Amino acid sequence: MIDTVYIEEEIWDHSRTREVCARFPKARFIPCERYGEIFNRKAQNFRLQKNRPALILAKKYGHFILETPKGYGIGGERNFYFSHMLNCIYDCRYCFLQGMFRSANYVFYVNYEDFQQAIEAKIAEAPSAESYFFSGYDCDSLALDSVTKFTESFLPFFERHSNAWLELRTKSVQVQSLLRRDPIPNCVVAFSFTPSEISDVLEHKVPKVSHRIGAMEKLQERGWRLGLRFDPLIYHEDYKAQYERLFREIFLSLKVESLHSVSLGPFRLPKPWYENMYRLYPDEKLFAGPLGEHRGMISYPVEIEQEMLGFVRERLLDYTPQSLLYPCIPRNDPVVSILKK
Amino acid sequence: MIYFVVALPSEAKPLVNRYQLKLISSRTQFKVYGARQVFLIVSGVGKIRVQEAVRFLYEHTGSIRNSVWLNVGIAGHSSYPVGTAVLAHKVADQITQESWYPPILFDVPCQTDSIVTVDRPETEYRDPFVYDMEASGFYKAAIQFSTVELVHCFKVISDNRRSSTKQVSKALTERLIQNRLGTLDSVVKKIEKIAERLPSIQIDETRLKQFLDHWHFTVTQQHQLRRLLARLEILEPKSAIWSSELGALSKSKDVLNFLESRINSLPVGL
Ligand code: SF4
Repeated sequence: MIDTVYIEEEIWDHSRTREVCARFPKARFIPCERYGEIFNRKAQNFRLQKNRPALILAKKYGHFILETPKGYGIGGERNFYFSHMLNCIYDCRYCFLQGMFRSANYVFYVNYEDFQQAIEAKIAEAPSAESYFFSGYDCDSLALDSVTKFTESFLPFFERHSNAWLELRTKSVQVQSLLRRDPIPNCVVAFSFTPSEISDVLEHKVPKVSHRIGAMEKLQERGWRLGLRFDPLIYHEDYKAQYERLFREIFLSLKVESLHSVSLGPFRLPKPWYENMYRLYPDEKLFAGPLGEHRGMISYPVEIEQEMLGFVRERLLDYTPQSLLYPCIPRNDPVVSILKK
Repeated sequence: MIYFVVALPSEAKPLVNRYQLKLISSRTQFKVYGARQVFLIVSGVGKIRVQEAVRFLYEHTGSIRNSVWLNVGIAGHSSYPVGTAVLAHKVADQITQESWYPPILFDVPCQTDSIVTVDRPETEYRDPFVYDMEASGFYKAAIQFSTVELVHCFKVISDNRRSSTKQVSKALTERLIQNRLGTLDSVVKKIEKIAERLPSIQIDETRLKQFLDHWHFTVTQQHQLRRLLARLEILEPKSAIWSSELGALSKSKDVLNFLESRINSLPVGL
């Protein structure tokens, strides 16, 4: 699966480096000074690299934990995100990572302990408040867990910090590491969905919707708190019937009591990222369709966005209480009112 | 388009024969050979010469971006047997300390290694690298004109600790490259396959001309027009856009709005 591994010289002998390398005995291992010389170089093509991404093992310096934009959250006031990896093994056509990064290579930061120290420092800033830490922003939290052993390291860590929540966000069905152990009450395993028909066209290499629901069912049985993420909402002619079918399928298998939160968000991209994505996939109907610039972001026209958010919210309320529903939209955005009616 | 860049005539000869290239310019500072979609330039030795050659070749063959670029030549290594073919997975410049990492997105029919570009022939082979005199200059120049995935350095070992540079003759150089043409050919084909996956924005030039003949568009508007026509081509392939309503519009801005509204009014499929 991976035939090239770049390794920063500084972490060549790190125990996590050695563990990861042992998984790819046939790969070529290439030393580099800093991962940016590979990852951030100009004149790279994300689309070409996506066919055969390399793995880059690196050490992160600083900026371990970042605040989420205001309005993004699942019930807490203190919201942060962190990324032990950059990029993802899946290939969703709407994914902003292909617009944000120049390279499709996977960067894996091996210095977990530094992330954990930074998380502890954030928790210590407000010890009596609950803090939320989102782990799947620049990657899929679980898709490469068998290689990165992310959960093996971070679940015990969060278990020791009961006033901090960890969100694992995923489209993966790699949940064995979670099923093997007891759940922790302050972890939300959140699965992202679009309807099967959309997933089949736009979410390349992603496990089928039914398989993801199956993985959620197993976690439910084991007692894990679950999350549902409908972000981004993808518009097209038949979206209403398809989202209705998706919700029916999900709630046939999931009990509301297992749910920690359900969030939804519109399809929006910063303009430069959209431009990059369009250049990579000019033949993609998603980008040729009715997207335009609104408040500096590329999105569907306001009427479509409002209609979708309103519709999806209404249908979700058939299954879940309003208290579980969270919009992923900046706090001052006019469409927030639609979701809080 | 495939561009070969070699330092020496003896490195060029087997390639010229293999790809049936004809000499197309000899009175300029560099000899250039070409046929159909393949060009080859003989740069001379050293990274400055090779940088100039890359630019020259690009500018004198239509400045076509995102082509396949290959630096082919002989190189030294402490222990690799003479005749070993190596594709660079890292290119480093010994003097400037700069490094590049050509992404190898295909199964390689030979070994890969780091190439270190030196200013004088390396006879000590101090580190276990492949030593040459052009790769860094080539790489730095070629990635100005193409995406990194299509730019590669392919070397054949000509000298090592047991067989010194003194034994490297023109005839040997020619033979070494000749013997590795099969491997090189396979590399070229694989890179070409990758190049085929590069996206290109397809628009109907006749249709575009119709618009440009009818209205005056500023440069920015021309860019917007191209984008709108390309989007329409994806959403409604081969459909007729021209209508009396469109033809009656007097301002280019209104034309762009007309096209935008048309896109927004189409049923949205995926
Ligand atoms: S699963 Fe998420 S991170 Fe991965 S490609 Fe899809 S949208 Fe991007």
